[in-house]
Amino acid sequence: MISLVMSITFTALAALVWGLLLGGISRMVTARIHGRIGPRLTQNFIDLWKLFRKKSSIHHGTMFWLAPMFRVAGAIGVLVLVPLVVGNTVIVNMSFSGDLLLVVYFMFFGCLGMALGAGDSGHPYAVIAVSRGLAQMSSYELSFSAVVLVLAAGLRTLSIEEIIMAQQDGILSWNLFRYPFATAAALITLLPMQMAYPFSIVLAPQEIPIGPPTEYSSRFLSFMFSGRAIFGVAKLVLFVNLFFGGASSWISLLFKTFLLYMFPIFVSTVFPRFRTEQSIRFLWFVPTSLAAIDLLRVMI
Amino acid sequence: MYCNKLPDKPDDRKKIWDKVDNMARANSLWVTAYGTGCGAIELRPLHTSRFDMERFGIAMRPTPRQADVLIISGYLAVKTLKRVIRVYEQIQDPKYILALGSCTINGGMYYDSYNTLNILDRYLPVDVYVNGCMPRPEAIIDGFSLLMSKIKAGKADGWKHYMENLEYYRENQKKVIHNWDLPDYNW
Amino acid sequence: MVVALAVFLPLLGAFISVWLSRRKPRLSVIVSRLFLAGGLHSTIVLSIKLNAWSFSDLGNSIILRTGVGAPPLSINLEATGGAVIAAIVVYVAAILGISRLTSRNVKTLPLLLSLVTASLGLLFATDLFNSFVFLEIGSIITIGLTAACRCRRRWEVAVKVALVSGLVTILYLLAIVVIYKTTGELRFEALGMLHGFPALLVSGLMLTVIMTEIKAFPLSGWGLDFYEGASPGFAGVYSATWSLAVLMWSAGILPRLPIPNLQILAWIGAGGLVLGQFAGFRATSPGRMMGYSSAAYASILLILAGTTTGHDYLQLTLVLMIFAAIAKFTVFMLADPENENPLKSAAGNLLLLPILVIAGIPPLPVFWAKFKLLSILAGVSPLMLAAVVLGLFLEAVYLLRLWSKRPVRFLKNGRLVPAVTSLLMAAGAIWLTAGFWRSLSFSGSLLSSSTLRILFMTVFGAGTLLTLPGAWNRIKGERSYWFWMLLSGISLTFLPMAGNGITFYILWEVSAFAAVIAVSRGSRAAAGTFWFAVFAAASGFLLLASIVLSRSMFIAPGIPLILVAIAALFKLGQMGAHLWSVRAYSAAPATMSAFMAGTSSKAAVFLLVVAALGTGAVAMPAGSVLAWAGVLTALSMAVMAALSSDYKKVLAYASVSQMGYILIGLGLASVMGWTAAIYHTFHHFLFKMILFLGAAGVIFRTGTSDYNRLGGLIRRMPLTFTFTLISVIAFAGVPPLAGFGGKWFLYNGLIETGWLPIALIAMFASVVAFLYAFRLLHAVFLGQLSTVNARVKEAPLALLVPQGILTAALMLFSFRPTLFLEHIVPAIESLPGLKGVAPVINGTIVTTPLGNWNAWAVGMMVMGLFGFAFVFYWLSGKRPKHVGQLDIGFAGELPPSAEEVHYAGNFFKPYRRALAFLPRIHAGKVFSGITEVFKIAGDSVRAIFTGDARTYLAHSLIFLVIVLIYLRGGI
Repeated sequence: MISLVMSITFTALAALVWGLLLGGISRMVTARIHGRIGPRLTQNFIDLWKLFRKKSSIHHGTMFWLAPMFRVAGAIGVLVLVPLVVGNTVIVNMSFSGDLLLVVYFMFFGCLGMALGAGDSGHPYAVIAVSRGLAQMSSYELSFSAVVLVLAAGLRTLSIEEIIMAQQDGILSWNLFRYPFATAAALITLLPMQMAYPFSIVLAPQEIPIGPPTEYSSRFLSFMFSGRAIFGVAKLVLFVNLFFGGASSWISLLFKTFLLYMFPIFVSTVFPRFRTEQSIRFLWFVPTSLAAIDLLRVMI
Repeated sequence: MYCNKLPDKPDDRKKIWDKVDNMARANSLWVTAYGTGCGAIELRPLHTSRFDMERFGIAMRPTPRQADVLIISGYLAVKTLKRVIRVYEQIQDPKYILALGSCTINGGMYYDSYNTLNILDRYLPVDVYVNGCMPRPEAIIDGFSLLMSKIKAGKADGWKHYMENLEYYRENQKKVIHNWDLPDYNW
Repeated sequence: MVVALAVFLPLLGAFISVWLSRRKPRLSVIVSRLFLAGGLHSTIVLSIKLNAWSFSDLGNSIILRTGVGAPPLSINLEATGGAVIAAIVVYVAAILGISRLTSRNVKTLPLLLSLVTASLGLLFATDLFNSFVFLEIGSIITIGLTAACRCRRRWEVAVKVALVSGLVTILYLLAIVVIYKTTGELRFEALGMLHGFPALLVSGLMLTVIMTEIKAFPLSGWGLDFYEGASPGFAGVYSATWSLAVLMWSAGILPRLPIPNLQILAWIGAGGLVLGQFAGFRATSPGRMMGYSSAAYASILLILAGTTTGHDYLQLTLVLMIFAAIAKFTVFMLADPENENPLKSAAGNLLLLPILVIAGIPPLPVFWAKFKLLSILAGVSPLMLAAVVLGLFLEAVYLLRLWSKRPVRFLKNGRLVPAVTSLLMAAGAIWLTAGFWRSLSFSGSLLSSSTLRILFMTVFGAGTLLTLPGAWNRIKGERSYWFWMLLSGISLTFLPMAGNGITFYILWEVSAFAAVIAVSRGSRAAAGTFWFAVFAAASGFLLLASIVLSRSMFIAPGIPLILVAIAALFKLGQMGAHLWSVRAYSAAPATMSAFMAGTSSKAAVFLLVVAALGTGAVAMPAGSVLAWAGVLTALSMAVMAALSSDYKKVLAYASVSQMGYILIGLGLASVMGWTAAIYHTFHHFLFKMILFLGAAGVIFRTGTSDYNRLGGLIRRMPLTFTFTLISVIAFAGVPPLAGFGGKWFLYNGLIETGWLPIALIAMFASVVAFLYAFRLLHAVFLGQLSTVNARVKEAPLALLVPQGILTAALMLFSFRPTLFLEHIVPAIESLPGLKGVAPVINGTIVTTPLGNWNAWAVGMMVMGLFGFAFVFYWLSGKRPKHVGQLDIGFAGELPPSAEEVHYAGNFFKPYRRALAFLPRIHAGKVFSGITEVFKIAGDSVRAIFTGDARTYLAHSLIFLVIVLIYLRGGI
């Protein structure tokens, strides 16, 4: 029990640090693409600390209060349900308590809490953003579900552990090569998941002031910040596990997540933002069609 | 419907964290995206690759709840003051005001206008003035660095002053805003 | 002697009242009543003498000869058991109808009394010429009573009746001449002695005469005009006296007709039933509806004559005719002649019972006869069965329409009649039910697994008990409905105990129609009730047809199973049938909605389970069709729910959508699929009840279910919010709460079976569920509290306590689903015929071939993380400060008002836009299209009823010619 708690604490902290670092890297990379110098690598740590140490904060009600806790619990939950490194028996967390379906559905936990907090803030823009976000989420889940089905039906398992094990025979056994179309679809859905342009309709500061967290300040915001960082890492780890052969060591985990993280950033910096319905339709049709190719292959 | 309690008095006890906190605050200034006057035009270049304020950790926030700095960008009309008060009070402590341009200091070219405030300091606690009409982006960055050094030294406490002398500020504000319909506390 | 008294006392009264009515009108009414009472007494004595009430030997008789000679020269009466019972009904109707009929014109009194005599004479007649005499008397009195009013409309009707009676007289006399010439006899038995051409001619003539007299389609035109045009009081008395007598008399003649193949009568009847009832579809006045219903009963008489003989025939005709007569009499007595808009004048509550009697809803008396008739027809010809079921359904539809138009007022002093007739009908129901009691069975043998039986009984019983307290919190405009809800719930609770088809069907229908009544008592029920009633009737008739077709077993595979599946789809509101469920759920009183969506919708699941097990092993031949129906409904209804902005409507769409998952599970016909279905059934019961009870509380306190007028109620109703939140998280399928389990089993089953497209759409639908889940929580509980609701209180305890209990159960099964699965999985595994492998339960871990799920561990982890985050926040600094609801960062402005800032309407606008490319398929339009087709069909049929008496004469003559040609075997 204690070892489990320690392992979860370690995982969460590591993911927080890695997530914030990746965030810093992403800001730097974006700045360089813009031709700017950009912030320090540690900028996100500074921001987080500042927010955490602000001297006052406000709240609007119970759900507003609880939403950041939902966010953090949801993010860490997803992280600990996903196996991190193949063959590592020290940090296994809770990865045997559920399968891929559980993880996919558990990913909504944080989002739902976040949405509830936004609703309780009473700010119309926050709720508009939630309405956009949910609409978009339901759209990309269509193709992501197709991807999940491809993997489950193709590999005859829903257990993430077994999905990783099925990819251990060299690089060509990766699902990236086994199911290239499904992987492409999944990578497209990674963009809205990471709120990257052109799908950044939820946190659209120019239209709806920063969206759901618009009323959140200070420590609440720092919780959301860390939740988002951890959740981002969790999603990356999940993707690495599903399509890129998992990670055989910590180094390879960091390396793979880092590379994967660059993909949304590069797309993000060169695209403008979709309108909501454009985003929804794109996500309905393009990635789903891609995934459907592999789905058909699996069925036949 | 609105908040009806006085905000808590700031806690003045010195803590060991203070130095770290002030370093963090100084290096992560989030600015409310609110242009009150013509000076806002000079803020835009700060985003660009030429001036790039992000390298100082300065970023724009679209909502006052998440910001630290309010920039009064140039002349401040009485009508705007009302909104500025609400925005300022909605920013969470600690918070700073950066006033741009001559107008905020003495009214500038609008010194005798019927609806422009001449001395901003009477209505809101200004931490750093940047003079000029308009100040160039370099000057604004200079203002920011002054603000940053003030924060690091723990001397940027306009917000404390405002809270302690709320009655004085309110009185002045109500003097110019004749149709005062704001709630007493905008936190 | 008693026979003579029974027949002729009214005649004596008539003579006296002629004399009295001029001088002492009031006294004359009393005296007439006394005479009628005397006659009634005699008939009752007769009935006891004949032992008619045992119903076993209706053929006993007492013969009375009058005058000097043998018939036809003198009147010769024979009181048989059946006729005596009908005579009692005649008397009761006359006594009850007398005040209504004579209230404005006391001079009609002698006519009424004579009509009674004529009716009894016809009932007891043994001889064709005697019958002719009574027929003539009756017709002339009918004409007189119809015209007893100084208005043109009634006169017109009287002329039509007179013309038709004239033709009937001519044809009948012709027949008599032929018979007397050929056989020298005029007893009924003479008909059997005919051969050759006379037989042919007499058959044609008599058939035309009878069908015109009993108003069977297509010769019913004059009857329709008569029922519509005559005063309701007289029409009522007429239908229970003269019309009943004519029907019973015809029932005596029809089997004796010298037609070689009597089954042709049944075909004429069946065809007439369908076509005639199509025509009835467009009827708007209650009188005309009754006319069509009368034609339906005439057709049923023909069917009976063509398919049954002997004792069955006597019993069935008697039961059908007397109870239909009583019911029709009641309907007419309730109609208000003063009101120009007749549809709004009938007294609704009292109207329901007679209408349900006529429509043949169990356990009301007519049902037993109809059930027996259908069982017989199933052996004769499935086609005829289908025609009859369709006809009966159409009849039920327009009858229900008559009822569902909301009643406006009662008649003055109009309660005695319906009270007495209702008693009679209730007595009939009890009497017949007791008679058929032995054919009912409560052994519960339909479902072999006792675990599942107990599960369903728990759902039904607990659902009823938990909703019942809430039924006392009624909002303005709702009338008391707890009794009907309880009745519906009790019959549901016994449903799993049913041991055979008929028992199942009775409980099913009682529950459905009790629910219909309960829904009709809501404050805005008008819109919802009718379609609910129609679909309830449709699924009822489908179920009945399949039970009848399956004979000895409950549901046979093949066509009966398909019919049952369609009935279950209707009941579950799938594939367009959501029309009724959404309308009914949103129109019903809020607690009733909870009962229906949470509890009684599971009856259809139970039906599917039981029907699939009908042959012993699970048979699900069209499982994939079922699954596709389920998944498409799940998706489309989820989208509808997301785009709808009425609290109860959203919940209604959501219920239908969730039912889709259960259908997929059942359609899989694998252990995993059925585990998913049963799991979801139970948990859907839990969370949908919580949601609807929460909605009931909100609506009870705020008086509205419109999203735009709600919001911010978390501040006023925190407990309701908590319960709703938990159930929303559960049904959205987010771990760690229970809804996830259902989805997990379902996808496991789908992937195992390889139905990936269905799995994909189901997954998509389950994510769309988030849209309405969040919208519901936000629009009602979060956001800005409007000033109107600023002072509302927490929901009443009667709603909160059940929610609390259900939430506790939900939490328990969320964290320890194995407590539930331990019992369910073995039970499902033991069902024969299910394919696939079962999930393995090991401690708190459930394992399938594909994956594993440890709800306890996940739940603990989430609670731990949540608790950690909370404590960390609590300890890490100052408490945040609570600000006012309008203290939001609104670009420096003050928000204009809470209502304007609350964003609830048109919520998923981008989604609507993104969906714009889809054609708009509107179930309402589909069904109104179907209705339109029915109406057009009805219109083209009823075009033959021109309202011109000459046309009706032509109908009879043309019919005669056609019959003659047919009987001759060609021209």
